[in-house]
Amino acid sequence: MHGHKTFDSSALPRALTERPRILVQPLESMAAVAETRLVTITINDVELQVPKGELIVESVKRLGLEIPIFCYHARMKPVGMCRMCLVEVGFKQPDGSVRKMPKPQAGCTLPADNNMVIYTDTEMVHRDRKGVLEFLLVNHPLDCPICDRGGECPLQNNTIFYGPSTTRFTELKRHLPKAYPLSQYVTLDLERCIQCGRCVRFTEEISGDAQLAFRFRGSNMQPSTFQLLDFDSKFSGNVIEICPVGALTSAKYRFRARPWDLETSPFNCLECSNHCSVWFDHRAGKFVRMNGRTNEAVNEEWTCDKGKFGQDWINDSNRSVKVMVRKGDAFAESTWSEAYDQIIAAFSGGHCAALIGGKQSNESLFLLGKLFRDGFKSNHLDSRWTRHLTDDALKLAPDTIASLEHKKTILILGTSLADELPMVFLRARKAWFKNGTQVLNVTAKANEADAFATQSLRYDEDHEADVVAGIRLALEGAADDAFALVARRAQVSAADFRAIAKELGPDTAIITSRSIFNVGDAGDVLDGLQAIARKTGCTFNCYAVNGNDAGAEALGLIGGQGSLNTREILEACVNYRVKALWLFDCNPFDLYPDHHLVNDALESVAFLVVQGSNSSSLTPYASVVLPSAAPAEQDGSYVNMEGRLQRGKGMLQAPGDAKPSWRIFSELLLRTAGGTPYFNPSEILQAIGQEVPSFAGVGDGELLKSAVAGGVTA
Amino acid sequence: MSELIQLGASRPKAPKPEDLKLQFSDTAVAELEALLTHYPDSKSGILPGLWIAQREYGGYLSPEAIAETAFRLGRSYAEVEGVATFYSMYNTAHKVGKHMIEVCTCLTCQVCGAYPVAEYLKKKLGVDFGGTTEDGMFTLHEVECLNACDRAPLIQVGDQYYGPVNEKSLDELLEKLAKQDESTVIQMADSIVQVHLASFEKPGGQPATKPKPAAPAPPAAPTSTRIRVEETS
Amino acid sequence: MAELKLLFEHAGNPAYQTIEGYIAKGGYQALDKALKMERQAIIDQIKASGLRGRGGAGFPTWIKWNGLPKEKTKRHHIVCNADEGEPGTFKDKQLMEETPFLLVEGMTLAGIACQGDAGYIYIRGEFIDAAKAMRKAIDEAYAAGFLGKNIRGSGIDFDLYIHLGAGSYECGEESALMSSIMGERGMPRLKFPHAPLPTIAGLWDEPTLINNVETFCCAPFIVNKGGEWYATMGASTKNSRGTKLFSVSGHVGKPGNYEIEFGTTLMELLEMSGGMTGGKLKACVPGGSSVPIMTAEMCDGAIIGYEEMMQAGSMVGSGGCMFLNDKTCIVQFIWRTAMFYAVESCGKCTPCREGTKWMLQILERIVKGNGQPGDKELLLDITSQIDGRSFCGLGDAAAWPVAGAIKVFPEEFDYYIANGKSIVGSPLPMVPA
Repeated sequence: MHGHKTFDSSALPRALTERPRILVQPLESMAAVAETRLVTITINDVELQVPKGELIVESVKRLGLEIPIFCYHARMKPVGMCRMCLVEVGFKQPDGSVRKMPKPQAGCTLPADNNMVIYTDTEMVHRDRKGVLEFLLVNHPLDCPICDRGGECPLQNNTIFYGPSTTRFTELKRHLPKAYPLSQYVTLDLERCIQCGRCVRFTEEISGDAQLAFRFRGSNMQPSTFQLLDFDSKFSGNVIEICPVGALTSAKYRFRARPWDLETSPFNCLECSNHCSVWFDHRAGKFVRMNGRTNEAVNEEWTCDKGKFGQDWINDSNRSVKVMVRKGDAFAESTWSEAYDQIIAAFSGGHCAALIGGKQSNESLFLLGKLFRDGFKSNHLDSRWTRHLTDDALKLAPDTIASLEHKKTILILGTSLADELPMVFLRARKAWFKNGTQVLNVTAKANEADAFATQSLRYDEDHEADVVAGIRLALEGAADDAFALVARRAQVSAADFRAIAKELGPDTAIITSRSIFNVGDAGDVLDGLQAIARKTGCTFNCYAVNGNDAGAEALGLIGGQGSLNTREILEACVNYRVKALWLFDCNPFDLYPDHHLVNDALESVAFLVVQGSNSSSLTPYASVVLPSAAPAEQDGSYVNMEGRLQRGKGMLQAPGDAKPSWRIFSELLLRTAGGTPYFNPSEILQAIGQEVPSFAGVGDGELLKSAVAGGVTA
Repeated sequence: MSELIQLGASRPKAPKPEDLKLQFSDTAVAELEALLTHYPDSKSGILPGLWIAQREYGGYLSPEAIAETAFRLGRSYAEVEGVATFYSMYNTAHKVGKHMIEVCTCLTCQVCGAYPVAEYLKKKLGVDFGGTTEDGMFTLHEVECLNACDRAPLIQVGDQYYGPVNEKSLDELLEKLAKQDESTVIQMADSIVQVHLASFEKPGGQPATKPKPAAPAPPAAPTSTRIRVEETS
Repeated sequence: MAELKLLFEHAGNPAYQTIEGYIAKGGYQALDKALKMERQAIIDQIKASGLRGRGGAGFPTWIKWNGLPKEKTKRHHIVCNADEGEPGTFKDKQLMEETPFLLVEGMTLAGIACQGDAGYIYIRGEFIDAAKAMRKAIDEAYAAGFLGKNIRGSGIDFDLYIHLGAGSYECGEESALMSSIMGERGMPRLKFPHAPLPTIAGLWDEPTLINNVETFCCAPFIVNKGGEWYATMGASTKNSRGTKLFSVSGHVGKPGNYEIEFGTTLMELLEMSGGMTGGKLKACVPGGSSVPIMTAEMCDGAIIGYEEMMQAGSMVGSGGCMFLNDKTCIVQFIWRTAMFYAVESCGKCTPCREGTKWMLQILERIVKGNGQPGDKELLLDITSQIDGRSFCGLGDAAAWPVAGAIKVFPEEFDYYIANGKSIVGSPLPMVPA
């Protein structure tokens, strides 16, 4: 033994010593809780019950204590590399005495077991923490004043709390590349690295691309991509957040702010339909960066690069800031009331339509629908941009993101999940990694999911319908010759179809996305997949892909008696049946596959409103340009692809004349249909709850109850 | 390097699998296949796979060699590079000469005069540790304990240990090696690949069937219970 | 006591390296016996023998053998640790080169006793001659039906594979060795109580038995002649039984491997190996570089046995015994030891990765004549911050020699730091020019 003094329980806060037995709900964490059986352990003389196998680093949190860590991350396998979490461990003997283990143990890898006695506050533990920090700092450059991580750095924090105040190191420090651009997003500073392996484990365990690995060994060990080449991952931004030092920093955030200067607000990313919970950091009214926020139901704590690094447009210099009205050939700054007058004149009478982009709040969409139906007497609204448009009623997607984790089999059909639905991708991979879910990746092109798929099936592009037909044939036990046609067209053998079909069962989730509407015979694909779902008892999900598309559908904005869809609206513009068109934060040239039709439509339509937060190439076609606020600049609620309603708060000031869209529609509604205006989004959401059945009684973060986005009716 | 340090510069990408120039010979591919039958997964084939690559790529595990090994085993490039750079016998740092002189300077060799031997070699070859002679013949390396300390000071060339060495024996050895056609670096990698494979697994060797078990019990040989021997041979 | 040759009885005899010669000298009798025995009876013999792991830690072998599940649900693996890397040790090399069938038979016995499906001999990459000898032996054993399917008509299958390392001392640590077989960087894995024992979840998460070459080589003798017979050797010691191979090197007349019975004294071992050359005995590192260094006084009367050597202030370790004469500079010797550990540290944990490098930097400075007052104390402090704090034993092994040498030879360090040069004038330079 090391002769340190025994632990003095009187030093503990009273409250803890007076409540000796504490039973707490298991903490949700990947590393912890294998069994639900409870064991009794003692931490700093307080006895408590925890699930057997829970890691001590988690157990101490139940007492409000903390063990300092670097390498431990609750969502990844514990490794015990950094040794920061050393604690003293003993075992209670039958006679009541405690037999201490001779060496301190890593709390991050130690599973709780009966009679375990833990000390986190002894002289030896404090000395060990100091020792580990001294070691970590001997080769650390201590360039905190110019480090982006400074101020929110675990190494800095732990050093202040537990570390030595001076150094005894007088040798040469290790010198390695600094500010090395590992990718367009991630900058690597090898001198700052403390070799905790979090980034390496992230790419191995979470994103699965295994693009980072440790190279060399001993004190030369460094995390790196192959040959320090491009870190080409769709989830690379996460390593910046989990790095406990400033070794991996964001190329975009670099030197732009100090953490203590930032204001941060909870926000939901709208770059795709997953609606990840994020922290939106801003400074002096400008967006600075976005970090993951814990939401076990959606993104756990991860983000994708598309979302994390795709928010710059908020700060763009080409933000739309002025109301503009066409006067003859010229285009002039104008006022809202003049614009409203012109719009009302052009849109009244019903020969009008609106096309909608992806990132609109439910409140804006609801009022837009009201404005068109009650004010303009038109129900020609659409937010879909795919080649095929179904008028089928769209139903709730049966599987939430989190529920995918417990599927036995996941069949991905015709979508590159990592691109279209990044969080569904991460969840499917987690299901495989943690629970052994088998993933069948049936896509035309190779993609990230192949890395863990038990079967990857490739087919000739645009032959999804044949693939689905092939799987159906296999399910029906058809003979080889029955496959001839589909096999030839899709370039898939009967055996491959059978191999896929044989894995489908009640515990299977079929996943595809709305982009399936872009393939030929999309209707057949959907019909076929539903038939497969019926036959095998599996669930079928056709997830929405863009922004708040799911919300638009849930609101019943689209479809309905006699309404025109996107293609029909564009065609109606060309043959003058639609005389006024409203483009709501969308650029049809970017979204719609038929550019000719778009061009003809925009040239033909008599009156065109271009409303959006950024000015675009559409201005030359416009009659009126209306600047509107970005999602971060207005309150609003959004529905993600699983039907989850989440509310966001505006935190930035909209630039120039820009107004929240709901306010624009509310003002126009007052001028056309009359009635009581809506003054804030909460009122509108209340109205939605009353008027739209699927929103009835739904609160923040809850799933909509029926008829929402996602699956397609049988 | 300087152009890489430009922030935001687009980085060169790792080669796509289809762009790799595969260099493994048919024998090497067959050997790798035979090796993989020893393990339940392809990851376990990384170490022997890298030995094959080191032989196939002329004694040097270039980035291309690592990429090919990774590709053939279905692992990520970074992972295989991480493994290759961990172990000191994989030549990943630089291209090595035809023969690699590895001088043990660890403990017993140290006290038995390894450093004078090393100095002699450095002077004679005109290179420092890690260096290769201009004619590409010899690379000199300092290594940790080779575990034949009874023969200190000891050096390793290819798959052979030489020791105890002195200036005269080194002169002779270098002369012999200079005349030798075969690269001891490649020959060593090959030896290592070969010892992994049983005779019935070797491609092009004996027929690929495991010999039949049989044979009666061997005759019992008389053994004494305690044997005392006065002198070692 | 003199040498006692059990494992080495036929070492050096080329005939013994062929299966016919091996059988002629009594080889494979143990296997035939074992095939007729209950599995537990084999393990009981190992238990009775008192055999302890010969790799360095001295863990009772039977506990490992007994630890694999009796109810088999997964494949079982038998692994031989032939990654002999401890400086000063070369016994496994000779065992593999000259008595390869002992290892093959020993591992097969373990395979029978522990229901092993396959065996892996992890040989360090440099030992190509040893690997070739093993290859030849395994091939012959396959051909004669002692390996493979249905061993000697018993219905038992056992395959034996060779897996070569590629240059890493750390892979001699059993969990790092498993990492290396599984194609990973040779980094240690979580150990009990942080993870199940290898006998429950080892290679590929399946039950795995790992023993040193010498340990496996003892098994045929124990099974053949009985554990109790084996335990008569070394009976004079507290808890060490049988014979032990010692690799004697350094300033001795006849460096080489010597097989001795536990209970032999260290000085007898020195005498066997030809006594000191070039000067008087100054120090001895009795069990490989990781164990604390002993002064001549400590060596005097030291008895070789696991507990006995600990009492004498060092350890049996792996049996790599280096005798150093009085012309040896301990500071320079420790500098080179520290260099070894700094080079071989895998880098996984902070104390070992940073601590070994720092110690080397300080010692290098001292050796170059730039020592500063306080360096000795700083070194001791660093060793205390590594010892017991590192992930695996390599950190401890790196700390002990430095701390041990400072403890028993403080004056050498003091002199070197104060005067910028060694207290002894070594005839052979021990540092680079």
